[in-house]
Amino acid sequence: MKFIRNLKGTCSWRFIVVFAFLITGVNAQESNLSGGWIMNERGSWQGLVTTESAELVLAKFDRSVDDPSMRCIAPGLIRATESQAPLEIVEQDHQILILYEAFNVLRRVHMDGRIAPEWMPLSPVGYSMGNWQGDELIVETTHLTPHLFNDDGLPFSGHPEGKTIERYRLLNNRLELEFTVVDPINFQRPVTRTHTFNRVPDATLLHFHCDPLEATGWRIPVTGDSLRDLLRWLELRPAIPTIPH
Amino acid sequence: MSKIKASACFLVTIFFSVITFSHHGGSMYPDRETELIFDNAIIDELLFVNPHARLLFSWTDSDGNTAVWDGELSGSNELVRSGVYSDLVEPGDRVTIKAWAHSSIPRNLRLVSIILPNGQEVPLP
Repeated sequence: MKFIRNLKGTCSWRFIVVFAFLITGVNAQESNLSGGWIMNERGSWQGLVTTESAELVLAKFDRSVDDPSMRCIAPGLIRATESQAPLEIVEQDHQILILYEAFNVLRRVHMDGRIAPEWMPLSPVGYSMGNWQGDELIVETTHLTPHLFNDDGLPFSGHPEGKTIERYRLLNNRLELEFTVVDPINFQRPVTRTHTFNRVPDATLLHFHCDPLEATGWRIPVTGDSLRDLLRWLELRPAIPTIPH
Repeated sequence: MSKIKASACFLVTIFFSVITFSHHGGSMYPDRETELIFDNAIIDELLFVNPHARLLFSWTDSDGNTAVWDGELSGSNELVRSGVYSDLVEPGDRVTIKAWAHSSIPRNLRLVSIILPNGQEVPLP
């Protein structure tokens, strides 16, 4: 109160009100991502120049069997972030959780500066650390396993120097995500795209039930007895492909 | 469109479609200008699943040959959000189906819409 009284002596209450508004305004901006979002516009990749290594993998990609998501295996981080299905962001003091409806993908963005322990295994969504720079949330993700970069079969190598950098900005009630991928094995330089999302206050994320036995028959050429075809095809299904580094 | 026209459209699509596709991006079905129409198709089965639902139906061409066609839709979550439910059709229903042809797999389609027995046309996401 003494501080306030001193302020009264030197400043007007109007100044105090404006100052308080600015402070709370900044805080509100930094903690207003929570809630449901759905993609408004999916951006195109900029600066996409592939390496010879990427082209070799791409040439061998067999779309009928090589996309693990068709067997209900969740896509990696890069494709998870381009889903048209809703997502929900849950902000906490020490972390931000991002839940994607598609394939029930859960991400944890560490906001308390804790670095990945040495034993941290690689995973399709990696290890994410975030921090606020002004009104921009910057998330850097490492420890990523090899996975598909896109549906066409372009690979992400999972190289130790590979990573993603996300920049989240609130534009009025819209969320902008600038997404950058660094992969020295497959891309000659970092590639970037920008998505926008609309806020969906009453979003209800559905459970993404996906049964490989049901899902994998989706593209078999049928010959007249669909269930028999499905079962026959399942017996012949290949092992999960691996993407070379 | 008659069955003959549908058959002709399909053949043209198969022969001239570009082989560059990806499943979620929809480029497996690159020719979206040519909409195939299957009159009097008979529903075999609706697989209402993720990540993509499928509608299997039988269709007889102008030569009297009957074959089963395989149509892909969005996943069941997205269908529900669009107001399309698992009871959309029943086996044996006679419907009209509009679709794009797959660039390389015969009798594989991306469904655009379905005209139900009551005449209602339902867009299919």
